[in-house]
Amino acid sequence: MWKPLRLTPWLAATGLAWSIGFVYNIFYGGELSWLRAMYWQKKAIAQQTAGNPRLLITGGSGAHYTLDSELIETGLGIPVVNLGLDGPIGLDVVLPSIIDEVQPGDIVLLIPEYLLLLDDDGLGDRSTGFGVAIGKPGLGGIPPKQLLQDVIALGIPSLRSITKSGVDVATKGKMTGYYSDPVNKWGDPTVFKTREQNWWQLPIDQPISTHAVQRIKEFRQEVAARGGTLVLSLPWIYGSTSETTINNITITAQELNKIAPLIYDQTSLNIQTDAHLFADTHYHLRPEGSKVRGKELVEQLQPIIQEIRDEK
Amino acid sequence: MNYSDFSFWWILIIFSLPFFAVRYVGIYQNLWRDIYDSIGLMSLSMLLFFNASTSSFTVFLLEVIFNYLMVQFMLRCEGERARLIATLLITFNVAVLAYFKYSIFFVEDVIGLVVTIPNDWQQTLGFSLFNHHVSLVSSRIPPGLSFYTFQMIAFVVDSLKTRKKKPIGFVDYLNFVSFFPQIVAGPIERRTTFFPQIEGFRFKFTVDNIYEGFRWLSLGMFMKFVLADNLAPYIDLTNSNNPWTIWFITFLFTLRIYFDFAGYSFIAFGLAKFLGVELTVNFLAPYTSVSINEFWRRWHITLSTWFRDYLFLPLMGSRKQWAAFFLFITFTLSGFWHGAAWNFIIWGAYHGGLLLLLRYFGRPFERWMGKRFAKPQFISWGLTFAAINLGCLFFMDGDIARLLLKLKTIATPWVYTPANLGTLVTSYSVNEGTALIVILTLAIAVLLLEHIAVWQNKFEYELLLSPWISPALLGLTILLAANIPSEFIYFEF
Repeated sequence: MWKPLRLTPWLAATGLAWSIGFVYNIFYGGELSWLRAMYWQKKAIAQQTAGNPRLLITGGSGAHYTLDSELIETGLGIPVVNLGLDGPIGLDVVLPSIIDEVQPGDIVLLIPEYLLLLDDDGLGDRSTGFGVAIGKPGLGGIPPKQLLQDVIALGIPSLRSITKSGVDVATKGKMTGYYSDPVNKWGDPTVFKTREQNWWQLPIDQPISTHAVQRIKEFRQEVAARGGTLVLSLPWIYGSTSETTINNITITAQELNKIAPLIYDQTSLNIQTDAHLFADTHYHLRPEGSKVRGKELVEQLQPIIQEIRDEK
Repeated sequence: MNYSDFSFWWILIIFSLPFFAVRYVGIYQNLWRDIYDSIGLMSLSMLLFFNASTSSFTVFLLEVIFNYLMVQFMLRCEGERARLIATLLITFNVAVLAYFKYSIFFVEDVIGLVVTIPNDWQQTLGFSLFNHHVSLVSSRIPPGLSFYTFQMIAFVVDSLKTRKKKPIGFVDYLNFVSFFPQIVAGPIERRTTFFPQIEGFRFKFTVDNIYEGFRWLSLGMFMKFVLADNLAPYIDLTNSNNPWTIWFITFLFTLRIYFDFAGYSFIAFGLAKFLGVELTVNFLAPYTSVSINEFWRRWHITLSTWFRDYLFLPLMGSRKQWAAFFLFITFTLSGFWHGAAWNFIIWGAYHGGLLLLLRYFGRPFERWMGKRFAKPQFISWGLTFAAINLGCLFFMDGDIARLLLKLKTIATPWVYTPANLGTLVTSYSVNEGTALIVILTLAIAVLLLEHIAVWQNKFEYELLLSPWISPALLGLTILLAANIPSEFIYFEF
């Protein structure tokens, strides 16, 4: 026997196990697979939604889980698509992943969580994985070391994840994930999650990063190049009203306002103090919270949309 | 090295690709010199150590240069003079270890017993440098210090005893002390077995070496990344009221510490094999032991033999009648080596005590059991494993007040209630409980395969290293490795 063939069992085991893990993580079972499915659903919705102008709303889960798009559509009288994704994807990956959907005349409303705004490099835990999952490996300019590390990790599902899927199959008859619930025809979630831990008010310990400012500036140009208009919003948070938080959000608002029209409540800075409006995180809203938020967005967006129409 | 850290593998790749490409071309063009292999290994080890800890690397470099110069000097001397140099060098190495590892313990826990030590004493003992406060007391043990210090001490003693006192090359010495698979957490190698492999080092990438490397790497990775790392999140030390929980967590820790440390050692063994180097097998299925004596012949073997050869035997000398006393002292010091805390000293003393118990009452107890039980070895195994578990209770909890409370709880019969057992069982969610059952099943399967090999008088890991099981372990590692790896326990020592 040719001696190197003795190594075949280890190489085969590695290849087979990694491939199974990759399929699980990306295509069916792992968290990324549900995110990937949701992304394609939202893209399809955006492609099927006709109108000029349209309102495309994007960001992380702080956009996805906070909107009542039907209410906003009725209030504004223009089609609305919820293109909110997931914060850990990172700003540098969220923005280019939706840019293809922007058509001439569209208004793109970016509602980034502070996780996205404060981050120094625009990348998160799921940046590489999401890029690979949507067929654009390296999207967002991921450094080679991180790219290699994360791509290797894509074939490693982990015991916890597999156990959870196994229990799901045994108890629900199918695998599930955080983003596995269906979205409606606007891209909004149909199931709202509830919080099991105690609530505490989220502090914002630093203002927007230089990187985020630069990337959002570039995004405004990218949107404009496709004939669209970028509008920004501070996210609603169940947050602290400490001086540090107020100062940091104020600076963030000032910086964002220099880039594009910024909508937010100038009195509260979008800091909410009623935890009952929130679902499972400091950003995600319950349906009643989404309605309040939706009405506020309509009021804030109406003059901007009118202005854009007048300019045309 | 921290094999859980991708930086380790990343540096290994980005160094190896160009180095071995140049080496290949160099050999083809007949331009490659043998010494380049030694320099390549040295550079790789240095780079990896520097990446692992810059501060530790600086300490290491100063120590290793000083040791090399002194050993060279010692090798040129004879008799008492050589002995004096060796003594000074060993004292220096122990002093460096003591400074980094034991100074805080000595001040806070020993002097603090009789004098009140202010909370900011470390701040007081310092000075300002470039607007930074530099403390004269190190608050962190440089990774690997305990291991490479022992290896350097052993080298000094062995060099003193060696008959052929020929000079040693600096690159060879550096490779001996800093060999990257084992520098941070052992095995602690010896001059007689390891130095000949490192002297004039050549890379030997043969199929046989790679085959052996894969076998050990697969076992080590499975033990570390699947078993130890998945057990780690369940080990919550805070509960001290429920005896069932205390025993169960201790049992989980007992499993984890073996899989963590043996896993690390086997990964080191496998990596060394790839390079053509044979390290010492540091573990031999210790949980198959039927006595504490046997356990210490199977657990962290290179440390046990180090303490035997460089502490116990020299301490005892010809005073064999004091063997028991010196054995107890050696084990207590071995506990202290593990960490600067009372719990480690108690752990060492506990094992020393168990060995004395066995020394004086082992035989009569064995005879008594032989008369009453058909398979007394099962009872011996159970008692040994239970004793190791109890030892792990001391080892894992550095909070002495809580440890005493735990001891009180497990010694109180009436708190072993069904309600407390129910509390333990219901403390896990369905997902957590299911994952724990899977991990324990895999862990017990591994231990069972070790037992079967021992019963069949085979090498302890022969079944786990077999060409059928080993690739399966590698596959399972890829599928089941914890996505948040925990630090190797022995890095703290």
